[in-house]
Amino acid sequence: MTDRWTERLSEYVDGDLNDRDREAIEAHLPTCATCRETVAELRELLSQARALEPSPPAVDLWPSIAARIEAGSRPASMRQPARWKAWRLTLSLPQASLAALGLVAVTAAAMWWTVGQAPRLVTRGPSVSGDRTSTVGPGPAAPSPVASIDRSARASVPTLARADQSLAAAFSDPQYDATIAELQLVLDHERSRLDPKTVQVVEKNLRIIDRAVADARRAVLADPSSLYLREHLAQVMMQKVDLLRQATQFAMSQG
Amino acid sequence: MTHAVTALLFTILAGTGGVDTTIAVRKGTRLEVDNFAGDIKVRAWSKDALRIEASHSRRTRVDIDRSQSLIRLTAVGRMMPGSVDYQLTVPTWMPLDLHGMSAEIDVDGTRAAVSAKSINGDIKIRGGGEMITASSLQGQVEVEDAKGRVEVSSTNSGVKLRGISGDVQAESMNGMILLDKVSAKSLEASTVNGSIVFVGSIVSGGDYNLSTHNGTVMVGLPEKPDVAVTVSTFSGEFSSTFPIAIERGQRAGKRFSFILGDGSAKLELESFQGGVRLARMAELIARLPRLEADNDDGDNGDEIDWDHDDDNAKPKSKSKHKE
Repeated sequence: MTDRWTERLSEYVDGDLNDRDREAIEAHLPTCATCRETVAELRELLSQARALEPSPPAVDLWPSIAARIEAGSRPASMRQPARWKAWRLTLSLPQASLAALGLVAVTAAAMWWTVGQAPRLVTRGPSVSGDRTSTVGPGPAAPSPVASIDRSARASVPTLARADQSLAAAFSDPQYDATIAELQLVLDHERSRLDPKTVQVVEKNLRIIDRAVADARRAVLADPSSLYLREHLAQVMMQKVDLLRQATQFAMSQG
Repeated sequence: MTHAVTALLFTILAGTGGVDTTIAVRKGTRLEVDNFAGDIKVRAWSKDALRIEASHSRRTRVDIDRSQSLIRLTAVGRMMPGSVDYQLTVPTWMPLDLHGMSAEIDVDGTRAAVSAKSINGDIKIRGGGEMITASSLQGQVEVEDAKGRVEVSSTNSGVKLRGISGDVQAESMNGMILLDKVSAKSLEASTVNGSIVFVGSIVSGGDYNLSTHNGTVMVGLPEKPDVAVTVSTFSGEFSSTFPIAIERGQRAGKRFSFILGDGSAKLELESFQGGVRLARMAELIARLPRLEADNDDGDNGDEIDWDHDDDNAKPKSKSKHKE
């Protein structure tokens, strides 16, 4: 449950509020158990974040995801353009659909891994494992489009500078690019099913979204501490995934 | 047999060049139309009957599959996918599921749920209830006078919603989103390359989120709004005709918040590299015809320069990053 103060609690903990708002929150806290609990969590989290040593972003999720893909619905030959033609001749439409859905799921998982945890800071308590990534959020959330990120928590993250560093690094993680490349590969393979006009539209919009992603990446690089910029980057990245997924579905629906 | 289905297959063979038939339907029956090219035009009447008028070439036929709760129309071609121009008259209560590759879809007068998908065609729905979904890759999507949840998207064109009572989700990649007379408790609109214009009621407890990467976000609010506003922009400017003071502590990087009235609704406005404008409703309504005309002319409405307009003048749009 949230109220009008929920988004200001992080600023309150950080001492960033003006006197009027600080006094208002202090008057509100005795009457609201949820906000009191959140303030306590934020203070504990802040304390743990301060104690963290810098470490590289966790990247070991990818091999297991990739291994599952390789062992699952998608043929290994997909990574090998030279064998693509042979694969194409044997892949049924249901298999291709399954592969595309798998890729979308992987992408969603990768996006969750890179961006989905930050907004959980306010709503979940910290873990005690000491691992950087798991410290940010205690458990997996359902992969979801960025639009569904818990906006009530947006204001809380910028203060956690070290966690931010790992999060920002995760944004340039090659995992996302690899996943996009694979979706693109599926689309390239299936594009002959689409009429030229549709291909043109898809390519035009891919250029638009690529430009938006590049804009957002540059902005994050220039100001890595901005939660807004990171959220925006995540949003446009997810929009690219959505576009590729949509185009792939269009192609496959053409039989 | 619980799910007893009486399956009738009417096949109107090639050579006729068209169909005109009327079928009695029971309440609860859904209509599904699958077309390749050609228009799908649907009108509603008060009869419990479905009239199917279809014109097509001699190489195409229309299959009408009928079961207890579904009537499915499929265009079948001999060598190519079938293309049919449909004129359908349906009961106002009949839920519609319409698909077309290059189909223009036009629905008017229904009070039931509508799902419409086209790859290259425009979609226009007037009426509709419960759940209205519409998506097109290339074409523009318009929904008017609908009561129910509305979920619409166009990849390469704009989205227009007018006179909607119900929650809204509107998306585009390369187009403007126009939301006029929308009354929603939950509204989410996002585009990448285009502006977003919202004129509608702000409901206490409501949640409104408008986001673009490259374009202007314009919102028309009532004279005395009760809303907590959060604005995010990387390189754009914020302007407001409401007096607003942003204090230290309300600004976090590229994002800031303020409260108008009692702040009982939540409004989040974002433009990465465009402006964000809060205006009085009347001001924005006066500009809507021009904004809409620009949109119809293929202008996404990105970077609309509000301050250089006179009352009835055309907002000046710069073509930044325009495709």
